[in-house]
Amino acid sequence: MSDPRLGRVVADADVLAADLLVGGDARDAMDLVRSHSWVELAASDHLLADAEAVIADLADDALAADWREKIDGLAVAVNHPAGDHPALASAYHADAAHVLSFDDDLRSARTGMELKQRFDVSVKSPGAFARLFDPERLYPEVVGGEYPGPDRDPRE
Amino acid sequence: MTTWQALFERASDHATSERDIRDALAARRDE
Repeated sequence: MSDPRLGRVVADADVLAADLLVGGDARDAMDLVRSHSWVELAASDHLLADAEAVIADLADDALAADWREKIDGLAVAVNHPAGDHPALASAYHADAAHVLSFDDDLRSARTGMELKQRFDVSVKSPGAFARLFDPERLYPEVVGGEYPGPDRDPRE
Repeated sequence: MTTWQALFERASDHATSERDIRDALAARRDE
């Protein structure tokens, strides 16, 4: 039986900004998302606005605006009330199995236990996600059939 | 629409770090 939620990912604003501005683990993780059309990036406007503001703050407004246009074309939009944590609320409303964050508090065992009582989600660092997310193993569960390999250019 | 590669190349002009990003995001969310 397919389980599409295993292919749904939320990247918090720090990871999205680091993907663009730093590279490293954040880009490795996001490349996994970008290179598979069946892996869905879910994000609320609140979350993307946070990342856009950080990019504008640390780089410039034009880059932030162009990044926003690009990410809007990749992400599946979800809504949640203002004031909720944008990454956790996006994951909750998108029914996503994975949250990527650099925030140690968000990834703590205590937070993990509290989240598990509400919904089944795994909060990982981008590096852990890049190491552990296995498209070949998940494809049969998410889509069905034999894994065909990456089907998108992650830099396009 | 621009490509991811083009965005990454433009972003490389701006030296920053994961720490800077975490701090900037924390400041925004604490406002």
